[in-house]
Amino acid sequence: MTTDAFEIPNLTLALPEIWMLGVACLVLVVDLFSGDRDHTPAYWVAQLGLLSAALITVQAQWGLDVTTFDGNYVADAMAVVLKVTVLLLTFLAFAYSRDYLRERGMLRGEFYLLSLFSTLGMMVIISAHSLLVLYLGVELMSLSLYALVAMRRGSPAASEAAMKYFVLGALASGMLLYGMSMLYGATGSLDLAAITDVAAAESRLLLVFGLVFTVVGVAFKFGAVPFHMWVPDVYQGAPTAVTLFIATASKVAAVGLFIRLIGEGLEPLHGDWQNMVLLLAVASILIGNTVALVQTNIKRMLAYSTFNHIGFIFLGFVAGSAEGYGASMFYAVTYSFTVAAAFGVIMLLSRQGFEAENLEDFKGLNERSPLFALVMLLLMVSLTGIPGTVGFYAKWLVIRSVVDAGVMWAAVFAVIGAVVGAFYYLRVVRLCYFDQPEAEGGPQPSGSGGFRFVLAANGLSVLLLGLFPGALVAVCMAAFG
Amino acid sequence: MLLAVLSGFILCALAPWLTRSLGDRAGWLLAILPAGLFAYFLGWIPEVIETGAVTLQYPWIPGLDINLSFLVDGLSLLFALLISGIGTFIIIYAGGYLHGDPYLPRFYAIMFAFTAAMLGVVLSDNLLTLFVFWELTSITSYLLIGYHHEDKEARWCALQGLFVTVAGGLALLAGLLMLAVAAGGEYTLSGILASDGLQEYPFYTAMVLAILAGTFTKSAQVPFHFWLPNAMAAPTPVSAFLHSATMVKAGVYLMARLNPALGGTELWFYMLGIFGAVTMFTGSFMALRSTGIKAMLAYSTIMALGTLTMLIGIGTEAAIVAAMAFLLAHALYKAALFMLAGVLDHETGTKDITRMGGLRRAMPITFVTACVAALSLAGLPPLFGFIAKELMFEATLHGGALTTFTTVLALLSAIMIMAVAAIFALRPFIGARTETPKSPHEGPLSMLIGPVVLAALSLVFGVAAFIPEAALLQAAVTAVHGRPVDFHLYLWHGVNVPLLLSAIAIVIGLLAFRFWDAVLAGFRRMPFIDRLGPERGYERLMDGLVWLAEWQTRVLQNGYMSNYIITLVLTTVALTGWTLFVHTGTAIPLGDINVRIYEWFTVGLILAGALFATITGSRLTAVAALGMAGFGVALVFVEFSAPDLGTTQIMVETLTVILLVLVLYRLPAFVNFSSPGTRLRDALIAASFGGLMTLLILVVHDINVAEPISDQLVQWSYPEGHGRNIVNVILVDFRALDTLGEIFVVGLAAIGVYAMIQLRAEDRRQ
Repeated sequence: MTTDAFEIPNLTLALPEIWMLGVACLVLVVDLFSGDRDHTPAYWVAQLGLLSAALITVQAQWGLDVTTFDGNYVADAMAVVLKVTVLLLTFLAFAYSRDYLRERGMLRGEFYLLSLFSTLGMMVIISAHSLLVLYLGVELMSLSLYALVAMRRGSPAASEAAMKYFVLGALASGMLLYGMSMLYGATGSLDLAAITDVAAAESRLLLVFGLVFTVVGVAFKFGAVPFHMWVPDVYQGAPTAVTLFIATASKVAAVGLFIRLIGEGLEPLHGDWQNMVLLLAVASILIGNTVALVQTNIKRMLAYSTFNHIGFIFLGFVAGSAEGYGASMFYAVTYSFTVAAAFGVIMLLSRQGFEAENLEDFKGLNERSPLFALVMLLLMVSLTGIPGTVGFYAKWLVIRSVVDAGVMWAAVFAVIGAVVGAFYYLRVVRLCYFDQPEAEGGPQPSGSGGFRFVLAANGLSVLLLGLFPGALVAVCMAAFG
Repeated sequence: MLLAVLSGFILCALAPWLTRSLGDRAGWLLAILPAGLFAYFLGWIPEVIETGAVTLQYPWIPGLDINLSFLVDGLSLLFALLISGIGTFIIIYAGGYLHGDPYLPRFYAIMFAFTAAMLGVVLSDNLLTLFVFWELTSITSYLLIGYHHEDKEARWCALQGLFVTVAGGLALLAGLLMLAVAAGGEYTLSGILASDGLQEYPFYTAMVLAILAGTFTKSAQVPFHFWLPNAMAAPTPVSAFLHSATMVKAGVYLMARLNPALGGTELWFYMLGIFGAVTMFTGSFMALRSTGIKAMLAYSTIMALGTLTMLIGIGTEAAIVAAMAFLLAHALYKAALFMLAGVLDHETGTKDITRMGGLRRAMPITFVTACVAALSLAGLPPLFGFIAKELMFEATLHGGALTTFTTVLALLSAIMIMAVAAIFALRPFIGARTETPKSPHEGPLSMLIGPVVLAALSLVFGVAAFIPEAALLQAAVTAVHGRPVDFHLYLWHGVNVPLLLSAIAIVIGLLAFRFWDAVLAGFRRMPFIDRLGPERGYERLMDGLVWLAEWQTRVLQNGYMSNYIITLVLTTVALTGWTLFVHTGTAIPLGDINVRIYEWFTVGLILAGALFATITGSRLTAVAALGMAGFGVALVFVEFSAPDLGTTQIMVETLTVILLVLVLYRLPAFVNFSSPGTRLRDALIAASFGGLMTLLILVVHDINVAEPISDQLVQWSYPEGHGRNIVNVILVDFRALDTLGEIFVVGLAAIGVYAMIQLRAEDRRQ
């Protein structure tokens, strides 16, 4: 053969993904052979697998910056941060949703399996270093998510949401793939590093077209305005457990997708995508905030307010600098943990045949459960971005990176967006603390001790991180040198 | 210092427990902390007088440029002393006022957090920590104002205060960011004050306006003043604290603090001068109109805040001296007056001053204290308020371009405040006894110690003005003005214009007091004043926001899949179009197009199929027509010598048509819902997307980055694979692993299918 000799890739670098694949297969088998109606063995295998995967990730990849599999796979500090976040978020999603799903008869092995495969897809995205691997990850993640949304087959809302998600998602994936094919056509390489080199060397119109389509695809995966329409429908239609997973882990993965593909891969085209990203960011903040104001369904409210936060994450990208990416990453990480806890509280208050998804259901929570009212207070205050909680530092980092990039008006705009956000977040606080519950007393917190403990810890971590954000900031900044 | 600032937060966590275990004495014991802090800050005075300003640093989040650094100079020390000193009395007072209240533990907790946050604001050197504390005061004051949370009104008022101040706070954040950028990435106040050239910063106007938006909302300047009177919904100890030394003074503090760096420009001068003077006038006018004892004091606070803003704006040496003196005087008498108002309210059971009368016998100490404090408010000798007012007139008389404007407004305000002071000090106490809801007697010691001490201080400082001057005001004025100023405070300035103005104010003010009932009746005939005002604007803004949000939701999130797709497509087209527009310099490589005659035929077939599919009224026909277009594409593949692709396309197309027909067969009959307008819109969208795709194909047309792999495969086939059937060699040799994988997948799928069939069969058997 005249081709290069086949080289055994450095498999230890990709150990986290390999491990996760193994865990997913193990869950499949364990669940098949265990007769437990609550799928307890599958649950514990999955949870332990996720935690150990997080450890393995740190162990195998922290402090490195190398590629393997012929340049298709990269292991670096950013990958570690994002992967550990995704793994922990999945862990939280499983921990919070167990009681919820059991009460609704949805606790099936498929939930764990699909979520684990989706997580694997996210990890692949985060460590991808070529267009094909990236796309594989995106599809693995998305296809699992479509199925997860459709899990509640009997519910028309869930079916509609899944259908919309699937059709639009397929369209967006098509756009992403189309854009990637154009990038390949223009550069002749699938390797992101090679694409960067070619893009830096010469400017081609085809590259720019490819860029537009990839931006559209990535923005859809984020749910940035105006590619956001699926988000509220899906958040509301999907079981809350799944909503939690989509709202948190997939956003973190999308940050990885953006930074790998556009931020680093198409870095030479920064001048072209900067304005697009800025536009998406501003539109997201504007639309997300104003619409979230009038929602009476807390899941929809959180969905709309997601746009606001995605807008902030995109603002961090605008600068195209290490600080900007670090800020976006910090934002995404802290935001997703905060929102995960918020969904956790929703699930805590839900019980058989009752979804605590209207804002009214939170009235007088303080009298029923002071601890979780406090948790809700912290979460909402953090989402608003009020100092003392971690949300403030996230916003601050992003705004500072925008100011450094010289886009002062966007910074001011972002601040105004944050003010409007205060309205609907603090409304929840008011309901929890100051309002009297409805006649029948409102939903009581339910759920096992473990669930409560993890949720409380998750909520209070928002405060702790708010007081001592230094370490996490340092980690996020170190990820970009 | 770190401990001093943060001790409040620590005690905040312990306060509920302490209050429960200590019971009635809690107020006195908890007051030890602010008293201790007061003593601690007193200890700083010699050092500050000696060195001017001291900065202390404690690293907190190094990665973010956030240090817990503190700046101690005359200004911050003056504020710190006021906060801790008055705070001591407030804590004691609250123990009496809220005696037996079930929420008292929570009150103490929030109160300590608030005090700590306030100390943080005035002592922070780092802009970020300053902002953090600033927002913390907003939040804790929200909790304090909404203390009576069963009361809907109180909640509404608290929320209003929160929105206004938090919104302003975020504007402030934008302003502070610009400030840091303007100072060359300097995030400490001391560094910013030391840097020059801030006035030449290109965004100077925007920066000042953003900062002022923050300080004006916090310090209740017109037109944001409406939240402050509503904040009276708070329990009286809170009002006394918020209005005298804290919360609202934070805005004044920041303006004073930044005066050396930002002041001296026309923008600063006019903004502060005009808004301050108008606020001063509005506040005193509204105070005279009020009958509620707390409302009256709240509006007079607005007057004081306006005065301070105006004086900082005028910015002359005399004005700064006046501002600092006024600040001190106001804090002393306002805290005393509010606490006395609380005593009256507590003992009589009403807040309406027109329903009180003849209380001097029942409450002699209250009466005397009220007289002293009110004299200071009115600015009569020998109280410290008199010195402050004389200095203010002195400053407005030399107010540059605004001399007439400010002096006239200051005089009018002084007249009205004189009347207000007289009403407060005399109305409840003299005249005939009136019936009140509770039978009044003297308040408890805990509630009187604060007002008595503070009123006494007003008197002592007035008589011996050198004490505050030497201890505090010299250093404070130096900090605000940026350089030392030589001045001395005297009670007696000799007969001059300010004294004359004071005399006029006193005479007319007393007349207004004499005929207050007539004045009130006059105001009642002008109800339109209530209807105007910025509070309406606030409500309108809120309603408008909600309306906008609802409208936007209806338009954007209507649940129709087609609309979602339209948005997706249009945005893509717009983004691409924009990119093309930006890249007008890059030529679009059109290549050379030579079309053979039978190709025209194929193209015609595709076009006809597509067009027919859009206009036909039957689903089946549409599917068939689309199939025609698809087969046309297959023909194109065949024509360009790609028979395998062509075959695949034909198979896919056939399958699609069959599947679609099967599905459509089950659907109800087709009804055309869309109006011509919608169809036109859809046509345009389709055309734009089609155009985009055409353009893309043209761009791709002549790009050829790599040699086709087929040539190499042909070359290698025999020597490397020992086979002449190239397709075979590719399948079993070059891409053997792929083939294996495919076989595996097909096999797996087959097993799945088999399993499903088996299950169905079993089901049927059962």
